[in-house]
Amino acid sequence: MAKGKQTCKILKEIRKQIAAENDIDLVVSECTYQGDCLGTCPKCEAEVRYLERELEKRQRMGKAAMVAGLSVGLLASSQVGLAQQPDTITPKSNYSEELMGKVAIRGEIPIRYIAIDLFAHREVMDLFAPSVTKNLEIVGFNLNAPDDWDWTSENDFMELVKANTKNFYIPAFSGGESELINFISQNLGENADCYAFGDMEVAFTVEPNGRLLHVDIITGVNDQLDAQVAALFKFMEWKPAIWELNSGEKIPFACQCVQKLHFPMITY
Amino acid sequence: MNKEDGVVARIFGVSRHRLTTDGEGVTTLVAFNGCPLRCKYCLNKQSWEPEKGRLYTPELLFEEVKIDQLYFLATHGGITFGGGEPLLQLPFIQAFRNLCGRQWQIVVETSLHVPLATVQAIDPIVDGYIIDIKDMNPEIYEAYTGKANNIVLENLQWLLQNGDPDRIKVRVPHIPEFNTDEDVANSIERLKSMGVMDIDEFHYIIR
Repeated sequence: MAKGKQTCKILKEIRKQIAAENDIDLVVSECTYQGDCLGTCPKCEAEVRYLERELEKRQRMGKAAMVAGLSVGLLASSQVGLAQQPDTITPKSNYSEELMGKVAIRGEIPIRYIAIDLFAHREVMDLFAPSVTKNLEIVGFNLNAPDDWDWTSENDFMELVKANTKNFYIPAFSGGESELINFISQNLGENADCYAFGDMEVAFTVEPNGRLLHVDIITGVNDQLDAQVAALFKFMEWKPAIWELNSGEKIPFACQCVQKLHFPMITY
Repeated sequence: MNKEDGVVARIFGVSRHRLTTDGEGVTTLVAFNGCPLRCKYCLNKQSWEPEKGRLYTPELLFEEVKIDQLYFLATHGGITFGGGEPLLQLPFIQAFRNLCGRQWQIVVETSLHVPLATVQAIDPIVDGYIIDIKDMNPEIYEAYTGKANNIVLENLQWLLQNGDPDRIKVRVPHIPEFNTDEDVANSIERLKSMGVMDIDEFHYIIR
């Protein structure tokens, strides 16, 4: 993790210097992310794309783009405790990667990807009118309400939900994420493409009964591994999403999820 | 753009954002499958299996790695081709160079265990070499790799005589059970006498 953070800092410094050299307004906020860092992230990548666009604009206007001449060695030496990168790439245990057999995977379920299809279930829908909670951070609702649903605005609806909810549990594989990774690793078996690497995103819906439907690989690694992982997800059973009301009643409901899996290169 | 139709290669690893590891700038390591040697402590034995790895065209690889072009240009970085033996992929690297242009640095991590003609052909498009020389002693080399090292020495000699020695880094490993500290010292001595200036002595770590 430390190495990833160091890499991130150095790359950020490069971006800042490119911006400064070219008079580009780049506001770089301090990263507060405490989890595993691979040295870059969507936010960092977005800054690179922004710089590229700005440099292109300047070139179109006939200005020279000044990007050459930064020394990573100097940037690296300015970072306290920069670890020399190893000549080999190995799965890092502190990335919560696990090597099972020959397949290494790192997984995460980002809660921001969860969308809730509450109206798909009559019993949940029925509960809106009399009851519902607080302390709820729901990021997306399917608002395909029935025609006879009586609500005035989306805000009112959200308030109603928050006011009556005691707790909200996202779907989970039995045993948690480490067990999920074990399950995938062990069941991919000897036929798996153990040299495949990259990031995969698997979309699926966890039904109230725990079965997985609508499994779809939205970001694939390669056709073979994608098909193998998709087949495994169709076979899984998860704990469904649970909506716990103030009354203590727990209602399972269908929940769409995206599971991220990272297949790192193995020993290089 | 000179598109080389039909050129493909198996690649088992692409590693971004290597800092000061393979050169002075930000580099992306691209690891090819296929190697003429069978070193006992090879770190990447998967590279021995030519059918493994993902099949790439130079265009596909270029599309994938150009995401870091800004870093490459800013820091005098680029692509380090390793493996496996990258010099077995001469047409691929030539086609890749046509795609990325001269501004990216291309470095090869090689054993130099390829025909001299290959080295001569790749030399104009490569900015630097990281050469794992194993051991200069032919008997040790053959015991460890299963091959003779005469062509390695020929190739190194040619590179030193026909280009800038500054482009060449030679790595000299301590190989458990195969060479001694004295053997390593002899190798370094001989390399210096040949004109190698950048020598990296290191230890193989057996896992």
